[in-house]
Amino acid sequence: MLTHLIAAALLSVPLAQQTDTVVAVAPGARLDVHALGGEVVVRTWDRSEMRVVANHGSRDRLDISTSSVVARVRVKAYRGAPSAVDLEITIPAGMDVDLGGTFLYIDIEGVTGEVTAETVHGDVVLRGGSGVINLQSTQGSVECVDAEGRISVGTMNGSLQLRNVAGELTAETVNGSITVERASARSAELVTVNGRVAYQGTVQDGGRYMLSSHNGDISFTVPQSTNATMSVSSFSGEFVADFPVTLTETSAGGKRFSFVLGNGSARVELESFGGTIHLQRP
Amino acid sequence: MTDAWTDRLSEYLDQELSATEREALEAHLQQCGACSQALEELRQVTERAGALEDRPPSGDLWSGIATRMAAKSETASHAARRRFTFTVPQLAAAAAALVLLTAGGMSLALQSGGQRGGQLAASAQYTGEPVAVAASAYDAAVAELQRMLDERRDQLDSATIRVLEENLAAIDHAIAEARAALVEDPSNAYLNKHLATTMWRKVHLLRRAATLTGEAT
Repeated sequence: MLTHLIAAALLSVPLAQQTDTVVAVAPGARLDVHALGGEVVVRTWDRSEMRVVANHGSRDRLDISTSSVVARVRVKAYRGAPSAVDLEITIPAGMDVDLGGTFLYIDIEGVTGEVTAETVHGDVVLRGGSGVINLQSTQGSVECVDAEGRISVGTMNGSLQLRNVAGELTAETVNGSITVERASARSAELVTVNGRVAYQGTVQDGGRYMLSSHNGDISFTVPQSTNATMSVSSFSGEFVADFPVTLTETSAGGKRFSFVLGNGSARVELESFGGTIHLQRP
Repeated sequence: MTDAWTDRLSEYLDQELSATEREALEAHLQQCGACSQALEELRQVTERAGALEDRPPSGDLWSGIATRMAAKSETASHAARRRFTFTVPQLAAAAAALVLLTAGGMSLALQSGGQRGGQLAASAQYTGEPVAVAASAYDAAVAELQRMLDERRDQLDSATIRVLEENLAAIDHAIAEARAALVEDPSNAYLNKHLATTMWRKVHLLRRAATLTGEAT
């Protein structure tokens, strides 16, 4: 009930007041923002300061506190629950970022520090950056573009999209598709229950790649020069390859088999209980 | 897929084979893709279990479940003396439940000799039916998490509840299909792994939901 009332309040209160302030931030300090609802946009600059522009309700105030380890931004109501807030925060590029909220849309660009962003209702978008990146939503989509590092994205009901990404990739959803394009991943673990999983990018020697769905189709695009040991598993699905492959092992029923491309250096596992597994060239 | 070496893979993973047996199995693995794949799958489920963070969800929701599971698990480990080696399907099922115990901070209650949680599944000594214990622990964890979610559902908005229910239904459907498939093909290592990971996914989802209710308060 409390959540229903808060959601209603967030929708009904206009953003009537703007706060615009700049504060110094210590080297190595982490940005910590938690807001119940609204939008958080994070951008970067080459100054050791943080600028916060907030559009918030007239009954709310912005609470910014800084220390040697954290720069904390909160929205507090003079009375009752705070209304929605739109925050645009500009920080040093190397700053670690921790964002969270319930009815929150999150948009991050250019951060090279560690990023953690989590919301329940709302999408998460990240462009640029490197390092440890963790983007989670419950009911929204997650998009990660032009990033490199250990990237983990997840949602329950929504799509996951990664484009022009590199490093170690983990993507997990239940009811949603996973699309990875122009990837240069050392490893990728892409898992959904109901949804399509597609990977298009390089397959590095020694890398590990696992794509799994229960009901959805799997699409794996392999460049001509790929060196990989491929394992394909299904129960009631089909396997389609756009080029000839020579099977080295086949289980009873023909639903589990493996084959080698090139010198077989990387390991690729493609699994779908009931969907079609499609192997294709770029 | 089964051959003379299939049931020795868990011993191989735990380095419990003699040097002669180890050499023979490694020679066999060079020639047998099915055993190589089964071994890799065993490695994956144990690595997945061992790599999990030993961190409860916010709000200490997990502690109550873990406490309830501890008694059952300790009973299983303390009375043990008989050597028991898992087969491929057994290991997969046990690994799913082991994930619960490891993630809930209960791995110490089951560990023997300071092994990693994931390795435990293949090497711990039990007297009873280890898979039955694992399945029981899994069922208990799911029931407890589901009960907590039901009790606190008024802290979530209707859209989130609907999403959770849809997702749980999707996972339950996947579990049911995997179980039915295993009846047809019980030695299928893929199906065993798929069932184990899908069961783990349900617990993961319920724990996530419990965390959401904790955040909302």
